Formats: sequence, C-alpha cells, structure tokens
Amino acid sequence: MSHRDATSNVGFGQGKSVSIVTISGLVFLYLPIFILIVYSFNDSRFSASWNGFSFKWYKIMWHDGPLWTAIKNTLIIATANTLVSTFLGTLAALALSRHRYRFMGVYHKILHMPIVIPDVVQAVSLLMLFAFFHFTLGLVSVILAHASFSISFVALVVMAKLSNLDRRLEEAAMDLGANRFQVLTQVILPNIWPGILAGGLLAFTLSIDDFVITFFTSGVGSTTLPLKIYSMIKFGITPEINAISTVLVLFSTLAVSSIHLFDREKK
Amino acid sequence: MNNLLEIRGLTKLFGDYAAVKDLNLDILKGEFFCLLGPSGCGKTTTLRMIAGFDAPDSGEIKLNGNNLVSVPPHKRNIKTVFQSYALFPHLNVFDNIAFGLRMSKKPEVEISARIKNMLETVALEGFEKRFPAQLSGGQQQRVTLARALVNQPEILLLDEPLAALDEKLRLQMQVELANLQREIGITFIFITHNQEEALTMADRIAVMDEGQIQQIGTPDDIYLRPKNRFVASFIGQMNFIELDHLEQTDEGLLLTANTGLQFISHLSNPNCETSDLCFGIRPEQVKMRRERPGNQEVGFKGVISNEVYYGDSSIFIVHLENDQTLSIMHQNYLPSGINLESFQEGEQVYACWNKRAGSLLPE
Amino acid sequence: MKIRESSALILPPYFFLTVFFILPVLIILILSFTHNRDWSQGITLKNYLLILDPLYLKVLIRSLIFAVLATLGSLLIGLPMAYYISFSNPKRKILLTLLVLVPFWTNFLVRIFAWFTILGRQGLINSFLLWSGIINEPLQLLHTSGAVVLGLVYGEIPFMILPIIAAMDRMDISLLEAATNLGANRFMVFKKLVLPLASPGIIAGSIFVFIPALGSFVVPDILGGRDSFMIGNTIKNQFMTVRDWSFGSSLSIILMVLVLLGVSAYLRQGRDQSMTLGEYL
Repeated sequence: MSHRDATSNVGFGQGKSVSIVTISGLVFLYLPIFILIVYSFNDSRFSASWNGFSFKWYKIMWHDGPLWTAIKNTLIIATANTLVSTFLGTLAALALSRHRYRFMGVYHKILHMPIVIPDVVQAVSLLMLFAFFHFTLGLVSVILAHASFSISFVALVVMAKLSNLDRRLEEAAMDLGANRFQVLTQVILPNIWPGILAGGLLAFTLSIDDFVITFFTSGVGSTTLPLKIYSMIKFGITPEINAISTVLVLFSTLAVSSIHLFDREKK
Repeated sequence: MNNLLEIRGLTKLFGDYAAVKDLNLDILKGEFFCLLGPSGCGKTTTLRMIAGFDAPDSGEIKLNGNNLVSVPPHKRNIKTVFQSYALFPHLNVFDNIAFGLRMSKKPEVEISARIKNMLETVALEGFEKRFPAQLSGGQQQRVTLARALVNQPEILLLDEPLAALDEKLRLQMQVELANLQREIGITFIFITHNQEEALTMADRIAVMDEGQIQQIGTPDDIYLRPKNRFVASFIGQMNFIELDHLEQTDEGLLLTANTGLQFISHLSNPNCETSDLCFGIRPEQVKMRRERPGNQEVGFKGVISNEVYYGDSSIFIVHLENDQTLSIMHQNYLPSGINLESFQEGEQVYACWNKRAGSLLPE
Repeated sequence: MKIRESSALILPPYFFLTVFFILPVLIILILSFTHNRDWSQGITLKNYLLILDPLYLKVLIRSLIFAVLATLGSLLIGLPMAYYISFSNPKRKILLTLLVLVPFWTNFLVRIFAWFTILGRQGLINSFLLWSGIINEPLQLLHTSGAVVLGLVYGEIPFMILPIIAAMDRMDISLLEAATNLGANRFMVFKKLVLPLASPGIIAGSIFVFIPALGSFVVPDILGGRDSFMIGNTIKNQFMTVRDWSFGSSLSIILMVLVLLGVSAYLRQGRDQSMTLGEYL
C-alpha cells in the first residue's frame, strides 16, 4: 500500500468522470434527506409552499403521546434484544472459531441463513410459529423475533474480531498455565470486547430500525417507532414525520461520528 | 556530453519536509547507474519523480533534452521494476509481459515474437501460462524485468528489486542483472540501500542522504576516496579519528586527535575548518604487528579486546592509549592455505598504517 | 473430547436458533404443502402450482427484474464512488466513508419516505416543472415502477459501496502504478486492473444488493403502486389480508430458495466472502 496517501501525481480514482459520478451519488444520497430536514421547519401543512420558519412540528412531536409510547417500546425491545443476542451471538462466535465440531459447515450455514434470507420470509415464518403455539403477540414475541436474526450479526462481527486475534496469545497463556476458562476471561475477552461492543451496537441499531419483522410479530400495545412512522406514512402524512425523520437522521449522524471517533481513539 | 537524463534543481516537499532538495544529476546513455542511500534519503522519491508517479515541486527532469515534468507517466518511455514486483495477479506471465505492448497497440504477432525473445533473455521459456502466484521469488523478479524491458525503454528504473530475495539468489541476480544490462545496453537506474549491490553492479554510484547527493563517482572513487564522513561510513567499514587540529610540517601533515593522539599523514591538506574534520581509515588499511612500525608507517601501541572471526579473516578490536578504538582486519590464511600469524585477545600489539593511507573527511 | 468440553458454548445459541429460526421455517415448509391449514386433506402441490398463474408469475418476474435493475443501478453509481473514495487522501476518505455510512445507519422507512419530498405531487420535481411551465398537471412519479427501482437503489446502495471499497483498499497501488508505467491511461488502468482486482467486492456488493431487493416489501409498499408490487407484497397480502397461509408459505419458500440459489452460486466462486461479512458491518 505504498504511497496511497502520498501526493501521487497519478491520482487513481480521482479523474473527472469518476469525481462527477461521486458528487452526483452524494447528491442522490443526501438530497431527499436535506429537503426533508428543510420541510421539517416549514410552518405550512403542505410541503410545496414555504410559510416561514417554525418549530411547530417539533412541538407537535414533543406532545405526541403515542409517539413516546412507541419510542419507549422500541427502546425496551432494542435493549432486551441487545442483551440476549450479544450474549448468544458471542457464545456462537467463540464456539465456531475456537472449537471443532462435527457438522461444522452446517453450524456456519445456519448462522448465515438469517442474514441472507429475506426479512419478509423470516417475519411470516415467525408469525406462524407464534400462531402455531398460540403465543400472544406483544413485546416478548418481538424481542424473540429480533434476537433470532440479531444473533447472527453479532456472531459474525465477533468472529471477524476473533479471526484477527493472534492464536499464539492463547497458546502462550496455556503455556503459562492458564486453563481454558482462564484463557477465555484473561486473554480472549479483553482482546475482543470492542468486537462484542460493536456487535451489541449493531444488534441495538438493527432492532431500532427493524420494520418488517416487527410488523408481523407485534401485537396490541407493542407498537414501535418504525411501525408508528409506517402508519403515519400510510394513513395521513403530516409534516410531523419530517420532524421525526430529522431527529432520527441527527441521531444516526451522531452515532456514526462517535463510533468513528471512538475507533480512532483506540488506534 | 552524452547525457541521456539531466536532472536540475529537483525538489520534492511532503508538507514542510523536503524529501528531495535541489538535486542535480546527469545520467549517461547506456550506463548502469546506482542511487545508493539509507531508507528515507529521498532515493525512492527521486525515482518516482523520474517515472512520473510523483510531481516535483520544482526543478527539471530532461530526457534527451526534453523536459519530462509535464508528461504523464503513461507516456514516458521509462519503465520501472517495482520493489514489490507489482505483477498483475489476475494475468499470467505472457499477459503480464504483453501488457505494455498491448497498451501501445502493437500487433499480436509482434507481441508474441518479442515476448518469446524476452523470455529467452530472462531464461523463463515455458512459463507463459503460469500465474504470478505460481512462481518463485526469483522467477517473479525475472518476469517483472521482462515486462519492463520488452517495451525497449530508454531508461529502466529498478527500485530495490533484490531486497526481497534471499542472500544466495541476490548474489546470483546481481551478476545476471549486470550481464543483462551490458548485453542489451539499456540505461539502468538502480536504487538500493545495499552498498554491496551498488559496488558490484554499478558503473557509477550516487550516494544520497537527506534528500541530497553526497558524492557521485565510480565504485572505486566512492570506496577509496569518500568525500565526507557520511559516504565513508555508509560504504564499507571505517575507523574515524576525530581531529582537534592539524598543522603543516616538513614531514607532512601533523594531525592531532581530540583524544590527544598525534600522527603524521602524507595526505594533502584539505584546507577547511578542522573542527568538523576527522581522519578515516578502513580496517583493511590497518595492520597489526608485534614489532615496531616501519619508516613509512604510523603506529600506536594497543591491546586486543575482541576478535570477530569471519573464517578467512577476522576483525580485531584494538584499544589504543588515549581511549581510541580501532577495528583492524587481519587475514587468517593465505590462498595456499598456510596459516598466517595469529593474535590472541588481551595481547599487546602495534596498530600501523601507511602515512599515505586513509582520508581526511569533512562533516 | 473437545465436543463435550465446549457444548456449553454451542448449545445455548443453537438451541435458540433452532426454536426461533429453523422451526419457523419448517412450519411454513409444511404449511406450504397443505390445503390452507386443513391438515385433514393431506398434502398437496397446488400452492406451488399456483405460482404458475399469470397473475403471480408476473409479480415474480417483476420482482426479479426490479432486483436486477436495482443491482445494476447501485453498481453504476456505487463502483465509481467506491473507486473515488478508496483512493482519496486519508482525511477525505474518512469523511466520504462516513457520508456513505450515515444513510446506512438511518431508519430505512425514513429514507424511503424522504423520496416523497422529491417525487410527490407537491415534491421537488413536480414543483419545478410546474413553475417552469413545462407541465400544467403534476406528473405521477410516486407509486410507479420507476419509483420502486429508485427506492431500492437508494436503500441498498451502501451495501454495494462498502464491500467494493474494502476490496479496493486491499489492492496494492503499485500494481496500478506499474500499469501506468507500462503505458496504460486512466481508463485502461480502471478496465484492466481496478475492475478485475475489485471483482470480489463487486460480486459481494451485487449479492448484498440483489438479495434484499428481491425480497423487498417496504419499498414497493411505500413507493410502489398496484402495478409495481413485488413478491414481498404478495406474501404479506396472503398472510395479512387474503389469509391463505399455505399459499403465502409456498411463496415464501420459493423466495427463500431463489435467494439461497443466488448465494450458493456466489459461494461456489471459491471465495468465502461471507466470512468477511462481519468486517463490512
């Protein structure tokens, strides 16, 4: 990778046509979001006319009771899902990358399936499971459903971290008299905790964002923020959505930047 | 006169740091030229500017009298052998070598013929269909050479091409490269931090440090008549005796070291500040004797503290009086196999050298 | 011996996955062979034959076409973007990568809804066209096939860009310099070196876009109309509206099989990129 950051005369990938597509691509990515943000400060009910700057829709949002209930549900589900799937996903990652089993390939395939299978398929099959066992749909069913796909994401992130961990560290620890459990707690976990943290964060985000699986597995009283947004889009758009969206974009921007800063701190 | 490449006032800055400072260099047509220096001395940056990968901040690079600076790299008839080989992993040997010819839209018939020839030259016939990953380091090296040479460049740039090879292969490739260059007559600019590579292969060497050329000359010049302390220490081994002052006498120059050591030298007076001057003498120019030195020699009494045994020869570390230490090379055997005089650690000896030997080196 | 030693690690996660992933899939697999949950009538293939009905076949083919178009669209924009970003100087590279990541981490519904502001009857495009007098009546841009494909590209493009950046970052820049040195111009460097060397990332990105696009339900539901519904919408309707769970199940199984075929074709390329999926996330 020599000189990638040097002031190369050649400037690979920085040619005119590539630059133009890149700028257009960024406009494509951000134009809708940008307009959404602008409209969220529009006093008018109708997006086409600008009636002056206002925090009206933010005030309405602030006093929107059902919205806060949905946010509360979302956070409860996301937190529970993060705890369950981080624990189970880390176990799976440790098992698959540090031990040998018969049918190893099958275990790996099962772990990857929830990631590749369309969420709509997973959603209806979970719905059928709960229906089959007459399990009442509610917060618990949503948490279990979220965990069923989050585990895989956590496990893959942790496995990536584990594969970068020098095996010789563990051998050195065993050589110095550590048993398997001590190797796990004294050597492996201290070295992979950023991966576990990243996996947990991913599980949390997936949970907050998930619409499809929640849509099929939630019941009365377990409406989440995405479900609330969906019903607002489908049954009566008001600029309140613009305000909610703006806040969500702000949150994700903050999250991404702080993860990045945290990452750099580590280095 | 017959300058193929002329470099004038070449400067390259990385932020505040000048990687190359006001560099001037002439390279003759058909010579094997070596840019030698420690890592970070600016030699690679110089090469990248010649190839066109980096743009200089100021200065000129002229090929046959035409300034190259504004010519994009893919239009320069200068080819490079990269340190990492940079063989295209998705192309086989034939397609790798054909790359440049195809870029210049040569007919496939000609390409085949030229590659066949080239593979013969680098002794890789029959390897056309192999992929880089299936070749040994030495073979990859040859493919890289062939890939560059098949385009018949005016200049071939070689960026530490032997650094990744093991010792044995490196020696073999040194000989092959030098022979190849003589055979095809293309101008080589070879970059290395390995002084031995430079001395064995080059017609001329430029020693670089801190972005500047310290000395240009034939290997002989550089080794026997280093211009300054950096060149002297970078090429081969050298004993340095820091001088306090020097004085012209009837017998020659009277040198006084800052350790108090005094001796006569028949070198010519360099006529410069004595404060940063030192006397340098190579380990093989110093002799160890049990008897007093001769007339034409300088000699000091000392004690052998260590012997570093190399088989045919040894390096002895001798402590002189006044805290001066010298490394002295001693031949252990004659070619006929007869043992020569041997010395023991702790023994008292005279360290002697000819009054005409050594060099006076400025900072 | 080792098997017993570490069963404490493998049992909990796989027990959970068995109950909440494998079992549900088995349930719909069985359901798909029944006469709409009526077990007494034995098994049947009619739910699978029903897909040959032109009505549903059209939806299936449309889904495949949309997914392919979304993949091509993402590639067309994503490949140059990844090339630019991967070879930018470090500061700009971090900034641009973050700019690609922010949408990736932003709520999907919000991002799809954002297109209302552009494509809606009162959206940016119609407002502009009306204002400039090119049209008198607002154009129907929302709830069209074009809007769905656009939304799919918009939603999935980070999955295209990130793996390609990862593949390009692994590329040794001296290879590109060597190509330049041998006379290749920018375009030739891209065509002969960058494209083939980045192909693992391109293939990975295409799979990561194609799969969710094929099974998409949200995008056609929000941006699409009756003529642009995809198989995901049909599945939803079978379960939520029509209540033919068996047909819904057979559609789900078909969609799943299509996706798994795609994935295994990709894995047969010999590179197990799925192992590095974790690194992209």
